[in-house]
Amino acid sequence: MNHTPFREALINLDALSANVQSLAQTIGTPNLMVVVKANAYGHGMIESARAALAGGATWLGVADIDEALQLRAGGIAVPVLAWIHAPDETFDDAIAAGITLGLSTVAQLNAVAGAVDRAAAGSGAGAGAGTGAVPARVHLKLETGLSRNGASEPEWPPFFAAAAALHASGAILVEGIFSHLSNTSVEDDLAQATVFERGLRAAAAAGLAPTLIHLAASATAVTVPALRYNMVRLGILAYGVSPFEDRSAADLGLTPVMTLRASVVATRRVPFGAGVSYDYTYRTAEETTLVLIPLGYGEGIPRAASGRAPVVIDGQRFVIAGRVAMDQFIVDVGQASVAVGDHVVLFGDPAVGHPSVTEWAEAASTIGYEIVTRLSGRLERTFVGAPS
Amino acid sequence: MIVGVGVDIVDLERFSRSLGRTPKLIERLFTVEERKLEITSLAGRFAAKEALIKSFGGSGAMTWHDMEVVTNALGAPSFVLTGPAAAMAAERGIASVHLSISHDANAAVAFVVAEGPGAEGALRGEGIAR
Repeated sequence: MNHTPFREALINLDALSANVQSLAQTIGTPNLMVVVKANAYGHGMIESARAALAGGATWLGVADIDEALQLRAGGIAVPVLAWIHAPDETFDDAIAAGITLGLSTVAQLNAVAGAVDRAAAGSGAGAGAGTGAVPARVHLKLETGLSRNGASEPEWPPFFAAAAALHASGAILVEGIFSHLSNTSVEDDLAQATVFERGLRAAAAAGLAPTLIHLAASATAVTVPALRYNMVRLGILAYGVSPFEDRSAADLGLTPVMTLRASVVATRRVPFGAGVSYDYTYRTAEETTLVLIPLGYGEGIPRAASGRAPVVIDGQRFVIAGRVAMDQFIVDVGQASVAVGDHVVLFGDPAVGHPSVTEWAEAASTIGYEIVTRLSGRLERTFVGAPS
Repeated sequence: MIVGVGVDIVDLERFSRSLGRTPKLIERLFTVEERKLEITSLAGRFAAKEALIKSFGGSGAMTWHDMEVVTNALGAPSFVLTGPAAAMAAERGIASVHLSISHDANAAVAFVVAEGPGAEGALRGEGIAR
C-alpha cells in the first residue's frame, strides 16, 4: 500500500497480555479461557490469541469451527473450544485439527462420534493416524436460563446417557461441562447456577466425570467468585473494555487494547449556516473549520453515533458533526488549527486523554462489546508489542 | 426419482489395521449381527454406510448402528434403517435405498441409490411442468 495507514486500529498486544495476566491473578482458577471469537472482538484473532497465551491463558474459545481452524492454521496448538455449529456439520475437519467441541444435542454427539470413527477407520490421516483413534474432546453445553443453545433440563437424561455411552465406547472424551449466564442480576445468575448444579449432579449420576467445569464469563468471573468453578471464560475484559456500567476498565486495573484513529483527509473553512453531511442534521453556528475523517459505517462506525460520539484531535475533544456516512464523517473544529494528516482518535485509553469505548457505546446506545467487535471492512490493524 | 447417490471405497489392509489399532472401533461401527462377519465383509459394510451417508447428503444425527446391512437368501445386501437414519430418510422423502457391494483383492466398494416415492410421485412432482 502506498501510504501510511490512514484509518487504523492500533492493537496494544502488551496491554492484552498484561490484562490477561492481571485477571489470571485476580481470578485464580487453574484454567483460564480467553475468548477470541469474532476476530478477537475486532482486535485481530491470531495476534490477540498469542498475546492472551503470553499473558497466561491456557484455553482459547471461539464460536465456530472455522474460527478454530484459523487458529490452528495460524500455528496455535493449545486447546480450543468451539460451540456454535452448522445444522449439517460433519465435524471431520474439527476432529482432524483436534478442536474441542461444545455440544448441545444428541444429534451433535452422534455426528462427532461418527467423524471420529470415520477418521479411525479411514485413510490414516487425521485423528486416527498411527496410534489408533483419538477420542474427540467434548464439553457438554447446558441451557440454564438464557434460552440459547445447550441441552435444557428435560433433555438431560438422553443427552447425558448418549454422552456417557459414547465416552465409554472411546469415541468421545467428555472433558468439560459448561453453561453461560445472562448477567441480568446477581440473583438471576445465581438462579442459573442452581440449575447448572443440578446439571452437574445429573451428569455425575449418568456416570460422567468431566474435569473442566465452566460457567462464568467476564462479568461474573470478577463479581461472583463462587461461580468460577475451575475455569472461567474471559472475553471483553481481556481487551480492556468494561462490561460494567459503574466501573471503568481502569477501575478494574485494565488497559484498553484498541486505539481507533484516522488521519484528517480534508479541511474546509465554511461560513455560518453551512450544512454538514446527509440530511443537514447539523449546521454551522459560525464561520468555522470542518475536517473530514475517513471512517464510516463501512468500517463499522455506528451510524447511531451521528452527532453524538466524541473524538480527540491534538489533545482537544470534539463531537461528530451530523451524520456518519458510509466512508466518512465530519468534525467541526471551530477556530482550532487542524491540518490534513493530523491524527484523530475516536477511542482508546482514557489515561492518555482518549475517549473511552464506553463513551462511544453510550453515544450509539449500545455496549462496548459491539463498538469494538463491529469494526471490520477497510480498517487496517497495526499491532504494537510482540508477545514471545 | 433418485434423491441421491453415494459411492465409497475401503482399502482392506488399511481398514484391517484400523480395526486392530482401535479395538473398540468394531463395536462402534457395526451391529452385533454385522460383527459376526469376516473382515472383507466388514470393509464392504463400512463402505456401504459411508456411501449411504453420501447419498443422504450428510450424516445428521445418524449412528453407524442405525444403518445395518443385511443380506437376503441370494446374498444381495440391503439396509435396515432405524432410529435417526429412518427419520432422516423420511424427512428427505427417501422411500427406498438400493445397495450394491463389490470386492477385489485389496478393496471393497459400495454404491447406494436413495430413491424417492417413485415414478408416480415424479409425475406429480414440481419439476415436471417447468
